[in-house]
Amino acid sequence: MTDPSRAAGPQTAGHPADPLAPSAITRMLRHVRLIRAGKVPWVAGGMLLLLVFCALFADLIMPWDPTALNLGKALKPPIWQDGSVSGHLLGTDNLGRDILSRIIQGAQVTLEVGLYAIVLSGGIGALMGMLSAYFGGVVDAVIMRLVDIQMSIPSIALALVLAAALSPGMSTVIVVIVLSYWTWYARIVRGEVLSLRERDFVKLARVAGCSTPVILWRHILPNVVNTLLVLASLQLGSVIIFEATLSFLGLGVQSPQMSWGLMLNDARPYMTRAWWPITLPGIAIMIVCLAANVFGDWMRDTLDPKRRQL
Amino acid sequence: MILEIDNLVKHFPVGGSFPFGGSKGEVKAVDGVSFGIGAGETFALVGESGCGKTTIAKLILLLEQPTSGRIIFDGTDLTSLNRKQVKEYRRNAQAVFQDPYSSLNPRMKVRDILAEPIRAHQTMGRKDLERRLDEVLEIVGLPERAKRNYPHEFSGGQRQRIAVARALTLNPKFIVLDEPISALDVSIRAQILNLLEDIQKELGLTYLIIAHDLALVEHVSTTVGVMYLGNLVEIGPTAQVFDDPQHPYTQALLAAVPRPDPKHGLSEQLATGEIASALNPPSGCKFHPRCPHVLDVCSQDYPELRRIGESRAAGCHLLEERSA
Amino acid sequence: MNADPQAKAGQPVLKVDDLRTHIFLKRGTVQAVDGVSFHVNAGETLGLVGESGSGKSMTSLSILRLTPKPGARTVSGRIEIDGINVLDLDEETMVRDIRGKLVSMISQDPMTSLNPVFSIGDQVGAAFRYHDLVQGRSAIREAVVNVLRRVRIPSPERRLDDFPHQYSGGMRQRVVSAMAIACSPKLMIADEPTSNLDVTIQVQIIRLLREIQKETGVGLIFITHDMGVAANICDRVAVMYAGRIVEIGDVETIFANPSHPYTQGLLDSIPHLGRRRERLYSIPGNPPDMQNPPSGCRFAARCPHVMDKCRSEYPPETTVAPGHMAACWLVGKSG
Repeated sequence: MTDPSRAAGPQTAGHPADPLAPSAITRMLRHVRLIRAGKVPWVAGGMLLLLVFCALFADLIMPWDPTALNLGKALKPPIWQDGSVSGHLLGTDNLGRDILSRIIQGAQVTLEVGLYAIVLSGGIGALMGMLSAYFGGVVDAVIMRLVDIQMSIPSIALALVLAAALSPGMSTVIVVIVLSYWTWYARIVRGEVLSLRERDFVKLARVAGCSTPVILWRHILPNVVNTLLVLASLQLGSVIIFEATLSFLGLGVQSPQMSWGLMLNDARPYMTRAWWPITLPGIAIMIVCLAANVFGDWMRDTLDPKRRQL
Repeated sequence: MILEIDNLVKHFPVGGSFPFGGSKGEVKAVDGVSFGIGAGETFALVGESGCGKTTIAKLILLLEQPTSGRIIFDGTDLTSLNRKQVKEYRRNAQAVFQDPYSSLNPRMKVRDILAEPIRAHQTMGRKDLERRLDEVLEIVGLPERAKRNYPHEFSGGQRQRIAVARALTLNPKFIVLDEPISALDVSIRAQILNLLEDIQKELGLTYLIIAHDLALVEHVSTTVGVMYLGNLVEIGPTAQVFDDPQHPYTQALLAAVPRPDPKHGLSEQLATGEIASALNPPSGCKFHPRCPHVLDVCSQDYPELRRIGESRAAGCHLLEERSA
Repeated sequence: MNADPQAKAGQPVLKVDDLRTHIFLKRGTVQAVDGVSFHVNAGETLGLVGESGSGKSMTSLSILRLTPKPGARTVSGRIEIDGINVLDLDEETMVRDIRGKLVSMISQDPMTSLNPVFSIGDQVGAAFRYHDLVQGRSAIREAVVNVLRRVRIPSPERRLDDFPHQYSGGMRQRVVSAMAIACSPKLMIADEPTSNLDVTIQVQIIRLLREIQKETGVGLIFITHDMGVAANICDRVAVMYAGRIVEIGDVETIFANPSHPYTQGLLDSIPHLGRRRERLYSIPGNPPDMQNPPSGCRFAARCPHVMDKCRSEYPPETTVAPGHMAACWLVGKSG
């Protein structure tokens, strides 16, 4: 059944009459059409952009100083509920701090942790996966057993130990996330490189006389970039939840620094009296995670040339 | 002789990875093969899947390390080269592989694909480089503007032309062609085949062609080596081997080829059963379980290659019987 | 719809009339099969010969109504198997009465046609169970042994409980053939069944298929790109190019006396054993873009005898001799 699949494949789908004619514009158009097909990824992408915007310009858009205490205005509900105070759109927490401002500032930490964690774990994991697959043998065995060991350590336990050893804080959160997540990248990248290594263009590069670093850089890496991007965007969601979990448990970001997980922790004792200080940051976490996951799925579909066909 | 293979052996260990226990055996992919290729010749290695012909190509291209044996190219033994010498060898020995979809990096433009071998070996001015690329593109019959495109913008036949062009950029003496047309559409195959023949004539190249298609091998090669389960069973000038095959395996192989001629009648089945596993090959002559002329001695002694006439050899006990 | 056991030889078991199957992609429509008509008689082998993308596999999938989803759809035409127009049937009827029972398929890769976690006996027996042809464990077992014996698997009683990985490549293809003939179909479609096999195994399978056909009188569609294989097994050959049949006729005529320039070019461009060292004819150019096929003859751009008319109008199917048809303006002219 080679025929139908090949006919649908990108290369043989009817050999272009003159393939040498520039087709950059048609390729661009294909992207535009694809975008029109589904609006959902745009909403998700918009949400993520909003997160980035909040993080970058937090100081400009925060209506209040997120750390300013005003016990007289403690636990005031959001604007649409009776008893609200003007100016506090989403109400205030137990110390009278503006929740909207705190969510906006929390975006900063969320994004910072997410970015560092993803770049570091992705970088380390991809490198390890590449080396493991490309060299094989002992290198592969050692790295993969390291991955196995790492994957058998519960992340929360690791966080507890590290928090005790390094004192809790943002950098500890990042270290824990990187330690827990690099294995993810390493395994998937290893699998990709194992099949890439057997591709003829890699063998031919060796026949041409290219050195190993050149082959890894020019032939292997560009072909795993798509996978890395997809993994990173899918990881963003779980990193945010992980950071929130650690901060909620008091193992992560510490006051006066701000994070959504910490807000949940702060609001927990007043949960029965006021729903908003705990629910609203929770909704923020949920929206961002959902957006990250939808966006990641969309990227995976978009970057896969086979799925782009239909 | 531009290339000489001397008692080449390649065994692949089979088994778990560290620390899950050691090797569980060996696949004897190439099990003591010797032959020589003269300059300007087209030497063909034929045989069915698992016979070891592709492993030999990989060993010659230094993509695998031999277990033992020597590969001598232009008087130097390739198995004991340092890094610099390996590079020098690569300048002279290039390759074209079967699948033009897998042999071109989808993320590189044709210009970079073609320039890669040159860049790996020397620094060349931009103008000289472009001139060289235009030259090789012209040889393979593609316009200069092809340089600006990505591989996916070309059809299978055009991609294979690009692959040939890349093999030519360094001006090699020797090219390994591993099933160069079998992945192409039938109506394109002759184009590439004729192109390869023209290039060889024009540039005085030596080819080692790996193929399973016997009609193709008969058409292109001057010398042929027939392989079965890691061994060479017959070798000689193509015309002689195809006209009068001596080894029962060669006979079975030739008889089985379906002829594009309904009057020829159904292909004959001279070999029974199927090729054995290279992990656990039969004793003695590896072909004996399938051979229609099997003798008692065949399951015990391995038949060494015996000279037949001037330039031929075959490894079969029947030949000893006959000459005795 | 009970199939009568022995169809009369020479009676058509399959009639395909003006079949069009298109693949709908985001960036356009690929006219994979574009007006194909042919028939297959009982006891006869029709070869569908063509290169990848010529529409030969899509034609066979259309007959089984198994075109890949989403995307491909049969847009028009008529497919009559044993008198039943399958394009009128719903999916349930196709599953219950047609596929596997009236028409069966042998695909290229025997490894993916067999499920690695079930024994050979289970998988071959499934055909009997699905269609309620045989009842009871021991009866099914016996039926499986019989059908395995018919495909010449040595000592089938012992090999029944083995799993696919314990079979060699050629033996697996025999098992797939056994599954295909289990329900005594009227029509069998073999899609490149030997192209993954070595030549010494290929010859065994070709001989087996011929023997099965002689025993059962089944009609066989044999899809291949290998002219040598086609010459060995087919009674008639249909040559496909760019979604259409360009020439159809009995095997001797097609090979000895091809009328369409594409068939001629194809035969001249393959190396023949025993005819060494002459330069091969090579067909210039590439197959057309099937999203925007040329308006006239689709081979015009590569044809050595091209005329103005060829570029503007698709040549009608012209009879060269009884049973031999070619779609080429030259045929009408000289004949």
